[in-house]
Amino acid sequence: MRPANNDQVSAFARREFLRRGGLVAAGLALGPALLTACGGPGRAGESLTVWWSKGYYEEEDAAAARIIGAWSRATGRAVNLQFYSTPAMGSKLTSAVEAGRPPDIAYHQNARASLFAHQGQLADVSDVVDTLALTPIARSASRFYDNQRQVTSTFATPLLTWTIPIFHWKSMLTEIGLDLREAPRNWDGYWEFWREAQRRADRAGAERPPTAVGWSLSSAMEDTPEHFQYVLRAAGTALLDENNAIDVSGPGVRDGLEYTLRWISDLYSEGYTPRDSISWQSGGNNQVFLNQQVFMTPNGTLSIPGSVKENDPAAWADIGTSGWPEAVGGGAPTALAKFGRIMLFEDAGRVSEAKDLLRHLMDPANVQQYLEDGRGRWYPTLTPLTEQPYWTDNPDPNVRAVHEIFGSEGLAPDWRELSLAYSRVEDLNIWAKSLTRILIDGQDVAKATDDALRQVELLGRQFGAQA
Amino acid sequence: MKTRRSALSTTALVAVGVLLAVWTLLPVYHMLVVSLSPSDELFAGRLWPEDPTLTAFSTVLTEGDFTVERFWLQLWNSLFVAVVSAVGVLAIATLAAFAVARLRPRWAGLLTTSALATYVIPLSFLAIPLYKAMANYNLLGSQWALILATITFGSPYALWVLSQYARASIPSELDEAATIDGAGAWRIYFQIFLPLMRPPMVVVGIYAFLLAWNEYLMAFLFLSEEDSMTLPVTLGNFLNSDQIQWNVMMATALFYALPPVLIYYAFQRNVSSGSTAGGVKN
Amino acid sequence: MLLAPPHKRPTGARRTLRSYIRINDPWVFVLPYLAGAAFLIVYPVGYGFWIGRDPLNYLQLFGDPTYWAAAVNTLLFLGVGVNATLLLALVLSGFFALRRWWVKALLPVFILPWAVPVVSAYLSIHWMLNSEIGMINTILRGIGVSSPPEWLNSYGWAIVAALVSYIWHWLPFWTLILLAARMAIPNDVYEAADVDGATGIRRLVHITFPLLRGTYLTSTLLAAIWTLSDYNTVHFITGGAPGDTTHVLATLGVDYAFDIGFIELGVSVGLTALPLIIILIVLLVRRLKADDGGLA
Repeated sequence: MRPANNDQVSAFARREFLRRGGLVAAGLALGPALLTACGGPGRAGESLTVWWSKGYYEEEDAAAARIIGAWSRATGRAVNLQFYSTPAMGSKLTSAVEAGRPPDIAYHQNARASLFAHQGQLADVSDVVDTLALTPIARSASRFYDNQRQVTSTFATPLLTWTIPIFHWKSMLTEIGLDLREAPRNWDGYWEFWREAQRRADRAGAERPPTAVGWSLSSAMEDTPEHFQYVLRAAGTALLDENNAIDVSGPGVRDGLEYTLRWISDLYSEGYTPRDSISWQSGGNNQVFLNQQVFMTPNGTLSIPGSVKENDPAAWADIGTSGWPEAVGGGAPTALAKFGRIMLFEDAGRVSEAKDLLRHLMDPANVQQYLEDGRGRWYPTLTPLTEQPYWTDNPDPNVRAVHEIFGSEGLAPDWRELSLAYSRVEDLNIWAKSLTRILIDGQDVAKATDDALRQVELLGRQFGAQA
Repeated sequence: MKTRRSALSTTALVAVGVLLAVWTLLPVYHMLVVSLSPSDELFAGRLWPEDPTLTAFSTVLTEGDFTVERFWLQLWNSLFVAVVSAVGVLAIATLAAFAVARLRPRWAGLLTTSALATYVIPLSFLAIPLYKAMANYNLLGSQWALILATITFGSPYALWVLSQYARASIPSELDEAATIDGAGAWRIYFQIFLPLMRPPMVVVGIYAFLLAWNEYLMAFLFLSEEDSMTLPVTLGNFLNSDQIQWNVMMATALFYALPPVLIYYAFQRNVSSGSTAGGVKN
Repeated sequence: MLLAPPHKRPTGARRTLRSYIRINDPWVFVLPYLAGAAFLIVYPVGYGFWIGRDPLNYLQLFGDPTYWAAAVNTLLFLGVGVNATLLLALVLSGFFALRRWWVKALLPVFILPWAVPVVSAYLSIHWMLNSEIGMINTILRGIGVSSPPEWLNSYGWAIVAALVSYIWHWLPFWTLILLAARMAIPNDVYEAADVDGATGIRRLVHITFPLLRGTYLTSTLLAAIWTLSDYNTVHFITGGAPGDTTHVLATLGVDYAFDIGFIELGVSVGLTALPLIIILIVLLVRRLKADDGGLA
């Protein structure tokens, strides 16, 4: 006998059932509404919320906490400071902005500023940034288009910058009788030097002969578009016009792209970068480099030498840091600058206080302190700091090499740092997909070039409002 | 109970067992090799490190590195969140399963159907709406946000497993006998239903435990302070830069896999002790 | 009375009965579940649909070959991954039902893939599959395979690698579920079969499988639904490489929403799986109705 089979349901019981069910349903529906009402924002008295990209070294985070703590004590204003890892913070910021609960201040090393500015999320910080002694390049990379207010202005503050140098193992070259200092600086000669290194190592008959270059072609790596852009720019391609809008009609754009696609796919198909470089994930090139499977790899910041400095001083001393070769047709070597930026969120509602903290954070002494605790992995954006002995005469040859790159003629902001439309090109992996189609599906390079250009142009139009 | 002989010979069974052990353990073994490798020997392609070292393990246990500086606290956080979630899922789902499978109201079908509709949007896409909901309820930053989310999304499945089992293997004569004795629904639930539901409850409990134990995205989004984070967030933090400390990461992960296995081991008796219901006869 | 507990009451004691009924109402037992659902399912799910409301996003997706590649891969995961996992789990649940000490000792080891944090386990597998220094190819070369496959460097092998990793991770869970279902078969069913002389394979085919059918089919449908939201497998094994050919809807959508910050586009990717999910849920509901008769 089952209660559900009870057929003698009286009309009274049915009404009672419906009534009670209705009450329960109403209660359940009301609950969330009530809770929401109770937990409204009402944030005036709360502490200022700061989200900070987690450093690579413990001291970096400690420095940030110290600097912000000093401001908090001086102003009597409580600060809620949280550290999140860089890739994860993107998700967190996205969610928080969508939920209308952004932090007051976020320091992030990804080029999200162009997107948040476009969406009208960021506070205009011109008044603060105009007073800072920023390098011209850093200043140019802090202006974005706000599609809500339809203005271009300063919506982010570059706290620090970094570039993508080339790292190599000196001893691996010495073993086969080569030295990078004697390598040609012109584009073709330079790369032929590394190919020659691989051929010599092959002839020497090592058990597992190393490959020339750790070059990323994988759609799962952020390094891929960086490496790609270096060749693109060395080939003289200018994808952005003077307003940072995508313009594919310029002279040489198509030729430059075709050259780049052919050059990189040849490097792979001729076996001068590891077979797995087409499927690497984050850290793939770092790992094969540290395993000495490649002679050299381009990589952002000084994290590669930094990772062995303490545990393996001999390996650290064996790693050389240098800039890129001259452009394809001669001319200054390309050097891309990327930025870690501080953003103030309008919706958090306390912009003036946040600006006060921003001024404190951008105080040259504080920036220098933060960068020193990052062990010189980053580079300053404030001109007076770049002239300090810490950068000009650092005992660490890697830091000196980076200082030299930042003083070089070919230095320019990564297009990603300037243009939301170009960020889309990279985010949608248009470069990696083109390379894969050439290398795996055997697509013709000219056809791949046309396809890629069409997509780039389309994205340019989609986000073309940023003038 | 008789031991039933399998048609397969013992040799074949042992072969299956060995194959299964290799299949299961190879990736875990690889993690062990990585965690035992010194930093300059990571992924060197060897089957056993030339120079194995326990440094990574001691680093984790002594919180001897920036990356694992809150290992024990966060292990505790994980344990708290996972245990409370498991208990919550079990409580909610056994109650509902009891109503659906034993009391059998008219709307039982409607309830199970709507419970399954929970999965209409894949969970990974609900992260942002859930974040907004938690913000509305002022639960952001609290471990209860993670616990409540796990309970809510674990319960529909738990409800299904438990009500299936309850229908299939608890003889209805048991309820009827108790009813004749004058026992109310709650007494039947506590004294008859729960004890008989032990086998599926262990499986569902472990399921809910692991759901919370290994959750990364929601843990990261809902929690804010490092002191209240669970360990998967810390494991994710290893990917902070492209320079990854693989050995410490794998050592942490191996430690982290132990508690669920131990818990399962402790309750295993309840799962494979044979059909409980079959043993109860009138 | 509809709301009566599973026994009849004498109609005389109406006053005390009313208060008694309330506490024993089926409503009361499902109240905690309904509360959770109202707070954390109805609103977020509704809000999710709201985020994905712009038809332009769908037009953009349907014009993108990467989306279609992800859709095909998702179907591969549902068709091949889910079914292979469940079939293996069915066979293994029989293995683990054996009453031998070493089989029981193997069980806690066997659940390790489920217990190991997925991020680390999948990253470990990713490196195992490296064509030059990965452990798999080291072993293959060791046993004389001169040119082992480059696992992750072509679409074919990469998607196979992701599927195998998926099976590795999910097999223990479904094995345990089917094992529990096997254990739920009352012994007297077997005893009756013994009397009829059914043993060994015949018993398996004629008694065990029919009784497991319901659980098996329902598990398959649920596994399919969950697989639609499985982000970790593809994200950490292939990351979509080479050239974004190995994405599934979950990775593509989550990457769009979180990595790129295009929430609406990302959620729209998730919602394009809706027709599939609705079919699965309808099938599931039908199954559950069919089960209503139950065994007992």
